[in-house]
Amino acid sequence: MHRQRWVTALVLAFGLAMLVGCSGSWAQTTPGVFTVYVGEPQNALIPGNTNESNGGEVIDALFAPLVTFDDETLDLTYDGVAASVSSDDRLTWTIRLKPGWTFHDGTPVTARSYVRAWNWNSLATNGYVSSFFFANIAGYSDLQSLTDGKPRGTEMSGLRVVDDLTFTVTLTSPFAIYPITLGARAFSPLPEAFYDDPTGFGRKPIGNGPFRAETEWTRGRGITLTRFDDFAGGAAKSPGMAFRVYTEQSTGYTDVLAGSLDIMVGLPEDARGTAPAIFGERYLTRASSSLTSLAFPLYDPRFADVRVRRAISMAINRDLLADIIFDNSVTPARGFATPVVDGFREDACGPACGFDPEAANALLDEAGFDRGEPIDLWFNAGSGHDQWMLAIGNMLRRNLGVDFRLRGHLQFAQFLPLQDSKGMTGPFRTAWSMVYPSIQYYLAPRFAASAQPPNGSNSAFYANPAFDAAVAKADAASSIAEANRLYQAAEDVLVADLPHAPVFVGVIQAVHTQRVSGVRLTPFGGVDYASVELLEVE
Amino acid sequence: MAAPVLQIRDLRVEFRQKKDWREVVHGVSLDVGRGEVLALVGESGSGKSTIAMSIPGLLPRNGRNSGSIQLDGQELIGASPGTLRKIRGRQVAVIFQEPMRALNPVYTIGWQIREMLQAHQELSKEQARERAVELLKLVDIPEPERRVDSYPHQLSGGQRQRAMIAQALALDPQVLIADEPTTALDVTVQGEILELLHDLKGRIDASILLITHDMGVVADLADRIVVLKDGAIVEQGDAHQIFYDPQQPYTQSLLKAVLSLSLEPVAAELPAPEPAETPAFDLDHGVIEYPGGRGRKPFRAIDDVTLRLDAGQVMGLVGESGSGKSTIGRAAVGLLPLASGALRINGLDLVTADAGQLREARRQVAMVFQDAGASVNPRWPIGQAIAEPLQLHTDLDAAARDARVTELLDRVQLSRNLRNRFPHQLSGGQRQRVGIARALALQPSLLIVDEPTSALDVSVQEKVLELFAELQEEFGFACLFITHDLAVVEHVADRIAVLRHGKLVETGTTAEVLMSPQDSYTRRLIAAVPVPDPREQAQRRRQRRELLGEAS
Amino acid sequence: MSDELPTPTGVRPGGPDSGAEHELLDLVEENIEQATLWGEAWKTLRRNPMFLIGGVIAVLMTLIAVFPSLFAGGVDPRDCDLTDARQWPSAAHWFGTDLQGCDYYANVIHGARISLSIGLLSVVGTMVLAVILGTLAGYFGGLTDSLLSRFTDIFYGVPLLLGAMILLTVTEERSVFTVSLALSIFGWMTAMRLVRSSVITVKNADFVAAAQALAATTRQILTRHIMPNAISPVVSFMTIAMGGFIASEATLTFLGIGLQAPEISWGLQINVGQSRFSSAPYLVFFPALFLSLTVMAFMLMGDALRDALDPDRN
Repeated sequence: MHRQRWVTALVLAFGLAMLVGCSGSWAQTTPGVFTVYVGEPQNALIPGNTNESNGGEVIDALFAPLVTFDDETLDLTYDGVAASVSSDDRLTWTIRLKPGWTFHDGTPVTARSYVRAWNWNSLATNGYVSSFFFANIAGYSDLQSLTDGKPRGTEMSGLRVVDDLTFTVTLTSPFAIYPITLGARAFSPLPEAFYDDPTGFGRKPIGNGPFRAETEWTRGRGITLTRFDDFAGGAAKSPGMAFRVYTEQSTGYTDVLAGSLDIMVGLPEDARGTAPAIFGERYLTRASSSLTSLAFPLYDPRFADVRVRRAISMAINRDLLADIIFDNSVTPARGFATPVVDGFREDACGPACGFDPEAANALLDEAGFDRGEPIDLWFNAGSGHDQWMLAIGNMLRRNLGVDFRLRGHLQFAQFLPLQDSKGMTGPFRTAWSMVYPSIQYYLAPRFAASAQPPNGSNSAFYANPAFDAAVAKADAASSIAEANRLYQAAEDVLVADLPHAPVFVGVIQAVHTQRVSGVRLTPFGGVDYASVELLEVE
Repeated sequence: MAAPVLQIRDLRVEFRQKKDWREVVHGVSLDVGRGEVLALVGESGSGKSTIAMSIPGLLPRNGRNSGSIQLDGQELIGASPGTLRKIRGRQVAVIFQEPMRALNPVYTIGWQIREMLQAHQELSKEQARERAVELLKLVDIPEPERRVDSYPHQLSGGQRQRAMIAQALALDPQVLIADEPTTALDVTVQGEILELLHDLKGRIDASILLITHDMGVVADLADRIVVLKDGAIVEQGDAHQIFYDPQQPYTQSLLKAVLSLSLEPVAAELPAPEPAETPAFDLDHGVIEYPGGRGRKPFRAIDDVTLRLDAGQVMGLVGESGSGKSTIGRAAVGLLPLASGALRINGLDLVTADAGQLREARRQVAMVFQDAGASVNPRWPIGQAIAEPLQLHTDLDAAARDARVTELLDRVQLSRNLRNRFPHQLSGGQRQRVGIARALALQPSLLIVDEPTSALDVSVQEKVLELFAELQEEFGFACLFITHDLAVVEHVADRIAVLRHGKLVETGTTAEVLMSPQDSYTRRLIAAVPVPDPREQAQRRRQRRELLGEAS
Repeated sequence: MSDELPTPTGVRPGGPDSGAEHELLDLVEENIEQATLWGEAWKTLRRNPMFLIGGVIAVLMTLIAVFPSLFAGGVDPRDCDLTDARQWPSAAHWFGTDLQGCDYYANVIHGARISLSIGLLSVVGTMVLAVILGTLAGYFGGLTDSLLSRFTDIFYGVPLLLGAMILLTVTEERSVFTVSLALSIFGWMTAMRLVRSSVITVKNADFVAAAQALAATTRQILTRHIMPNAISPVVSFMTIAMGGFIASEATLTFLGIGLQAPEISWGLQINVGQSRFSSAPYLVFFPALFLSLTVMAFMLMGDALRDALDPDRN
């Protein structure tokens, strides 16, 4: 009896520890390291295969981009690896690198590091989700089309190494904003060591950024990084940092309150209103580039009719949602872009993103929609989407008379693959933030036919030649201003087709403990980790 | 004449049942003289225990009494709880039927006696211990200095009873109430205790109020007798008068109904044994063992016993507890396997038979259990219970089964209306008849009857045995009659087998075994049984003393 | 003949019922009505105030669970208007409105169905497991008993909530059925022990020996004799356990492992309401109240049942 009790206590303690571990609550902080909240990444940590926020956060700490952007104006600056990106005809671009940049393993960052990496990312046999980023480079199609499972080539004809610090990129058509796009992490270089063991690299990347991987990535736990002293961009202020995996926002928030998690970007639903008062100066906010929409599975015949999609969009009272559910910490979305980018238009969406239940019902009747069958609303678990999705469901029920089911049981890392494999049975939550400040990023990478999974994030599987043509025309514009105007025309196509129903534009919220200072939010929804100072408590 | 130590006048006892008070003792008056043994006799429900428990104020919470009970001049009815507490143990002590229940199992008997002494007297630990040893000597416990440190479970049944008597006598009470003091004991042990009580009578000053249903015990011990029926005194007088010249019809019928060991040659003819026929029951060098569990040797319940019972014969299997008589009965119905030897039922060897033959054999043997109430599923109406054998072994449909059940109920003289009653709604006697009816359902050729009457009142016992005799004559089944009661065996059995510790000690016809027992154990057994005849019992007492003194 | 174990009807073999008790028994039992063991228990229960209180509440909750629309006055709990969100109790909304603008009273009423269904299903599941395993272990003893008892011990090492949590995390569907299954799988052990010891006691009774002597098959003995008599201690335990299971479901849902929106369950209501506790405490109060009352009702009933069915009671 005594022994049995002992065993029970042990199992209970072990179980509790596991449980606590699973939810990611970490009891103590590690000296010399500040901890950052993150969710489980979808894929291994390879820049070319990461296009979601969880993995992206980690990659951004390990890799330095080619080009950078001014924090306020979002103008292009050359504080990254690239010394310059220039072109005469907007077709062939010459990229010159700064000397002295090295990878974490000491090898130099050369032109070849980029060219080889970009070729690798574009290979259809690798199936990287960011391969779309290279679609505009001449010769991309050779690496994409497969005969007997083998691509026609392994090197794009448009990429050419000139010397160690220079390479040229020839596009398939002129693209005015090309330098801006180079800020995306998909364009990161890869050391030679990568090709010997890509899988191992995915667990412990060797990047060229301010922090290097100290440990491997452990599923459900995270990764610890140390300062890369030879970082050419200026050594990080903190000797180390760590990413800790959580499955529930509320758990992370509790840990920040308790002081055992240092930085958290994105607050649980019930903390959004109360956090400013609790954290005071340690509460950070800035305008977000994040647009949250309800994407429609266009492969599902139920949602193939645009009238159905418009009806659903018009049945959602976005103002009420922002007010009641979000305490006005978000703003209703009225277009496919966000206010922070050039080319944004107020109310681009028009009545399709307004609230008009009668018109919505009329459209639904016209389309002959089967109201008897409930609509499945999909979203990822643990990130506080339950209440607003539930509110949307209630609105559909009340305003359209059609019932709904919530499908919010999957974690992000399982949710994305299901989208990519056409597994959505109804509208699904999707959010998009820019990786470079251009309206173009909200259009082509999301809605181009060539961006359909597995090569991109067009998870609605939208394909409209008219849209692709409009985008191509904008890409070919002679100036950025003209390009933006033409991108807006492409946006209009989307408004007419409504492959997504834009819902709200978020705001970036973050909180941190007293252990750290100098925490700055980037315009891209992350934190500038290199400038975070760790204050060791006596 | 010296004043009586206990004077009871017009005692009335009532019990509350739901909201009403019912009187169960109606104005009883009696005296208990100093140093005398007064027996309260009666059947269950007569009120004898209620009266006795009124004296030390041990009635249950829903009881109340009125009238007068004077103990040496002190009025006990209406006395304060404090007074009564002082009385108990010091002036009035009680011996219960089950010593294991009265003795606390976690303390040594010495401790318990000491505790009692020290609660009422100023004694040091050593003095109290000395007195405890003295008391144990008084009750003839061997090696009292050693035994005083024993726990109750380390003592035998008889020794426990002695210890309890010692505890009761610790404070020299004036009245000792003995509530069925020997009923739960084995025959020989009962004999020893009766011997002890008789001895004590001479040695101590206390009066004994003896409550019992056993007229033999009364004949052995009592000076005066009070006969009770339904809470009122029917007759009282001194022992000789009651036994030899009862006045009241109830007393007369009570005495007549008592089965006693007459030890006279039975006039009835015994059927001549016919060895040519297959015996109904044939146990040949049977050994039955209970597994001992891990590392322990198996326990031999039956050790090389050979018994033979012919068709239509009744054999009494006699023995004390642990003798193995019930074990043989269970083996006969197939509940226990033989470790070695052969067991044949109507010629069929149970050990080597196959499943089909065994099933057939089970039809021919039936068992009547000791506690018939417990041998029937408490959730089944008795009609269903009686029909169970029919259901399991015959193809009769429901209607046919019902008819047969009715038939059986008639046979055992139970009203047909009772078929839908549940066991706990019947009296003990009725339950026993149900057991018999069920046993007869398949018309067995061998009936095993295990202590069928030991849980019954005297008058009921008489009727059940009568019924049994009738049925046996009518159906002609052979019967293994297992009992510890020699008086019963004398009346029903043709042959007797005596068992002791799993071995067969003696066997023969009833007359042979009872009149001229060969084995010393048999002789002790017979001597230990008290007969309800004071004069005769006085003679037997001498014999008993000799024989019980032999063994140790 | 062993006189160690008390037989079910309370008669001690070995001698006539000794004086005092038997006389009293005779007197008290004079008015015998139809009664079975259950019938007698019912008579006792009828007069027990704890049982009555618990029973009334339990019956009320069951009625609410079976006819929720009746009690909710026809108000649809899912008819939610966001403009009415987070209102305090008023004449229009007796329990106020929740975060989504749904009538809270209707939601709490409808929550009864889920909670009670899970409670009932869990009890049934547990009973099935416990009765089967307990009867086999108790009746056959020996190696069977050892194996089954060790098997039970293994499960004992896993606390109910923890085990249910792990199981539910692995399964994708979180319906009433799977939650009940998870609770049953980790909650059957004590009931099994009860059944087992009860079976061991009954197994030694004479009527079982009598049935064995009649060569009844094992199955017949188990189903007709052993099980009906061994059930009573388990029944009162299961009634109490029902309250426990209902509370466990609420806990699981509260922790996010049980049911999910838009299922209507008290645990879910408490979960959602607790984040707004300072501004709208009634969101937690009402479902918590109903939950506590229901759990308490079953525990009271179970307690009273146990006393009533206990043969050793005075």
